[in-house]
Parts: sequence; structure tokens; C-alpha cells
Amino acid sequence: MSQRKPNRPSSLLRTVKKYSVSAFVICSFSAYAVHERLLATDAAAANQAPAVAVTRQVAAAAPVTAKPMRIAAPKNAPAQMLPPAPPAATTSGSYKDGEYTGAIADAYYGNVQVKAVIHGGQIADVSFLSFPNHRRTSVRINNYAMPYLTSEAIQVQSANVNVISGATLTSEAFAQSLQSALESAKS
Amino acid sequence: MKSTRILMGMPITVEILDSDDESLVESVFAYFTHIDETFSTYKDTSEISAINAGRIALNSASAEMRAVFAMAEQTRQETDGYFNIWRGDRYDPAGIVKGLAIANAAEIVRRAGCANFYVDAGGDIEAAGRNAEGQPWRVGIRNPFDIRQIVKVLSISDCGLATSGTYIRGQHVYNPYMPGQPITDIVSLTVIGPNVYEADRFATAAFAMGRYGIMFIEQLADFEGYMIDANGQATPTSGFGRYVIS
Repeated sequence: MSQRKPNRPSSLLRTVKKYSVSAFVICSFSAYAVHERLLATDAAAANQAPAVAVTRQVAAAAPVTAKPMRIAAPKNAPAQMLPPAPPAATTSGSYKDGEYTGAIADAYYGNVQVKAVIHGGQIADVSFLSFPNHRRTSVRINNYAMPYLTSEAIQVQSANVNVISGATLTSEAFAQSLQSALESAKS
Repeated sequence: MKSTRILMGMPITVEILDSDDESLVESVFAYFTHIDETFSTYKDTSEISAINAGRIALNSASAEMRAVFAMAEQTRQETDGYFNIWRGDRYDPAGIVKGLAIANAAEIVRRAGCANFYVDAGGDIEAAGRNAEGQPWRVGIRNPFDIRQIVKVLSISDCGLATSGTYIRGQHVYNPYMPGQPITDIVSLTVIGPNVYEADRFATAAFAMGRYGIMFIEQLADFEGYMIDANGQATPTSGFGRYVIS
């Protein structure tokens, strides 16, 4: 019994030792991983010069290879070579000025309704009055921070902008609602 | 002068500050119409539909078509195969064509001597010069959870901006490594690049990469990005802040 007593501190010591060794191993490994990562980032940064070159080549190449497409450019082509005019439904000056609300159209994920603003006989703006929103109910995914990139919660901003970027605003329902808005703009 | 048309199934807007030439805008819309008639997979009469139906061999396709295929192949290689216009049974080059069409449309306007304008096709934008207030163009990033709102206001000039997302068309971005698997954890990825062609093709590819996509953009020189996930958490690239107004 009396022999066990001194054992206790030593077992505690062993436990402490065990954990510190484990901690040391983990820390070393993490440090090594971070170090490697940084090296990789540096390498990536160093490699970016050629990457830029590639990208620039593309940028330069795109217009060249795309040159045939520019046949439609006004300087290069007489008017009769231009592709046919857009469909009559959107021909300039065919609508009366004002704001026209389209019918509610059923998209498979909910209802869509758009408003078309006609100015000078042309479509000046198309905006959404209603749109389904069940994204919040989507499957929860573990939040994890990107390495070296911080994240933030999105916040609604004031809409004082020239133009808006988002995923392409097309769907059958959008087209239907817009079509009905434009029909009423004709009459 | 600002004009919107519905072409290629989406609203296309051209705003030009230094010209009132209607014919310039007409030629821009005519160009988009031509692109639609050539590359639309929804039109049986398009050249791409003829290729997919086997009526035209790829090597006898138009120079325009072959150029798009070459650009798609280059992009596939630059993105580890995440960008791929091959859908298993047919080609869908929309991921290249849209950005290219906007970039070329902007070039038409530039060649007409204009320096202050933007071309917006379905939310992908080439912005040149300044807006009516003499400031860089103010561009909003749409809230993927409520498309009537914006969640970021950016200030951009002489560059391109494209957003890939899932909230309108459903799961329209295709991950070639997981066909049939929806990309659910990322709902919106906006990319700013030297022009809209570059921004669009890398936005498309990076979106297909899921969460890694923003790191891919981070590693590209001259590109910045803003990713929004399904929980409403946004992750910008490290240099994105210089474009942010609010």
C-alpha cells in the first residue's frame, strides 16, 4: 500500500508526460503542415507569373480567334450582313410607356411574378415582385472557415446601384410572367 | 442611352453614356441574336444542335464554333477538368459562350469609340469607364436568398464580373466529377476578372468545385471572388475588399 502512494504522482506525471508528448507531436505536425501550406502558397504565387501569362494569352487570343464573330460589328459589316432583327415582341417602340405587372407564373419551386418598365417604347427594366424563397430550409452544412480566408454573414445593402450581378435570371416562369407583362404593354 | 432586350432567354441591358446612336445598340443586340441562333442548345436550328444531332461534324463546323470549342478545351485544362462543355451525351458550350458574347458585344461598343458603358447579360457584366456621376460603375451582388435584395455593393471599372449560382435555374451548374450530384453547399459565386469572358468561365468552373472554388479564385492572379454558402455565410478572396463600397 505504502509503495503505491509514490506511484500516484508518477502515474500523474506519466499522464502529463504522455499528453505533452502527444501535444508536442500534434503541434509539430500542425506547424509542419502550415509551413508546407505556406510554401505551397508561395510556390503558387511564384507560379502565378506563368498563370497570368496563360490568362493574358487567352485574353489576347479570345478576340483573335473570335474575330469571325465580329463580322456583326458595325465597322466591318454593312447592315444587310447583320443577323436578322430580334423578334417582333421586343422590337423598339412597340410598347406604351409605363409599368406593367405580369401574371403570377408557377415555377416548380414556387410562384414568380415580374414587372416590366417601359420607357420610350422599350423595355427599360425588368424586376421581380415575387419569388419563392425556400433556400433557408435547405440542408444545414457545417460552417468551416476557409484557410486564410475569413467569412462574414451576408447583409442586405441599399439598392443604390447601376446594375446587379446574380445567377442568370431565366426560367420558364420568368419568361411567362414577362410575356404577359409585355402583352399588356402593347394594348 | 440605356436599352434592355430579352435575348438568349434573359434580359440583356446595354447602357452607353457617350453615344446616342441607336444603330450601335441595335448592332449589339443583333450580335447577341446571332450568338443565340448559333449556340443555343434550345434551338433545333442552331449549329450546336446540328453538331449534337450529328448533322455537322465538329471539324467542319464554323470558325466561330471551333474557336469556342478551343476556348472550352483550354479552360478545361486550366481548371483541372472542372470546366467541361461535354455533358456525357452532348455539348453545352453556354459556359463559354455567354461571357464571350458579352465581351465581344462590349468590344463592338468600344470600337464605336465609346469608353463609358456597361453590357449586362443575365447578371454577367462588362463595365467600362465611369457612370453618369463620373464614378466607377456601382454593381450590386444579388441576395441568393431573396433576389429582390442585394448583399454587396461594388465599384468596378474596365473589368468584367460574373456570378454563378443555383437560385434561379435550379442546379444548372454541372460538376463533371459528380454528374447528377447537386451542388448544394454553395449558392452564389461572384468573380471579378480582367474582362467578363475571363470572369465568367472561371466563375463557372470554380462554382463546380464547391467550397474549394473560392480558393481556386484566390490563387488566380488578377481575379477576386465572393462566395455565398447555403447558410448565408460569405467568403471573399483576400483582395476583394478593394472593390467593396458597402
